[in-house]
Amino acid sequence: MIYIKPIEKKALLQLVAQPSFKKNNGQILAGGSDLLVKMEHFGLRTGMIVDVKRIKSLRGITINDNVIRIGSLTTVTELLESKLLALHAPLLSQSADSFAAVQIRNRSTIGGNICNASPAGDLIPPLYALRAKLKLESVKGIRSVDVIKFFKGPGKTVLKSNEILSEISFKALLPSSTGKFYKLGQRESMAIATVALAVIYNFNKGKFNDVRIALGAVAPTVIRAYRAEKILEGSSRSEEIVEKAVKMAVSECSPISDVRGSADYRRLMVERLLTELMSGV
Amino acid sequence: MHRYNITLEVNGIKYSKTVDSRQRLLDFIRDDLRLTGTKEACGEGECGSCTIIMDGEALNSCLILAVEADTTKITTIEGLEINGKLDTIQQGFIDEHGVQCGFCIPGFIMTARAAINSNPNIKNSEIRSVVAGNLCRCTGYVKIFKSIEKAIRLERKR
Repeated sequence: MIYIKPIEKKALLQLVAQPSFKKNNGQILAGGSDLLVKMEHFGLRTGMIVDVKRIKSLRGITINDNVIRIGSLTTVTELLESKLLALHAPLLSQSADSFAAVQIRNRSTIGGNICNASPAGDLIPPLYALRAKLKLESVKGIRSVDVIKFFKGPGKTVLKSNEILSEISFKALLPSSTGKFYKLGQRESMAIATVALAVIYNFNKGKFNDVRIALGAVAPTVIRAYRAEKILEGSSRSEEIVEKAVKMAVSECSPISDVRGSADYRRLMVERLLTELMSGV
Repeated sequence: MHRYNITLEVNGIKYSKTVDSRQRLLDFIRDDLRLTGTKEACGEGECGSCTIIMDGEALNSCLILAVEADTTKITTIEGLEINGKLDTIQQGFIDEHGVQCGFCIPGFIMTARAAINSNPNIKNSEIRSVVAGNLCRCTGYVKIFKSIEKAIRLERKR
């Protein structure tokens, strides 16, 4: 297995563009918390590892013109400790807080969590709710993809083998907006989500405004509950309208039964937890 | 087989070694350096038994390749005792009888050490979340928390 550690983004892009990268089933190594498990326990065979951790330009959190930009190699600990995110995207801070435990948070990166494309990826529901854009780069150029269009299924994305995810960006939440994240797992730490929810909403003259609901671990990819959002948008908050929207959100899920919970349990938990999040308790 | 030279510092000693690209840092520490205090239990980042401190951060050494550790500074459980004097966390575990079978303890101690190093004013109420990534199959958590609390008290006296 060839091991290469480029120190510049340009060198990385050239490396992944080489035919030998694809031929060797080359893998990008960031935090390694998913990749090493796949190699050691799930039989992933690769002849080339490209370790990207030295590339400093792919790391850090900035805000400019109300747009927050996060380098793909920013670690989960860095997300958790960011005052900028705590202020402007608290739901992302909350998901970083519920992410595994300190040993993993110190190493794992936001880009890795996205590219691993788990339907239960902890950082993904908040990024859906924040309507994040992903910057994909290759030697041929740069393209921007909405986070919701990035995922094709469990472990599958639109990222080409010669491309890397370099940056995640989204608009800072309005100070008047509410942003919340909740993960239901089998225990408080280290749990893979049974169900994860991220919501953002605002009120305009007492009516729901700019409602965004993202649900994790209830479909092959994280989903937005668009039809539920539509029910709430422009309505006053009442038990009836929240109940109607929550029922719709449940109908938008297509969960499977697995070791973490049955499909019915997942639907029931979406119902209970989304009701709590939208009722402002 | 692809082999690479790495230079790193472990417990204050500099090493230059050749490692296979597939070798995990955990195996390098245990097999090549013969430092067997760092344990393997799950091998997938769930249990924290293999926790080491690398460049100041607590990390699972089972999820790191040895080649990735080039140019780093590592502390393992063997590096805590200095000139016959135990680390306060080791002393805390002795004083509070925090050890049952002992297999998970090096991991707990390294995680706690990194946390106290980065925040000497850590509160007792924070200990649980600090060691949330460490599992004890004897389930002796209460004694483990008490041992770390004792260590924090000892540290403040020093």
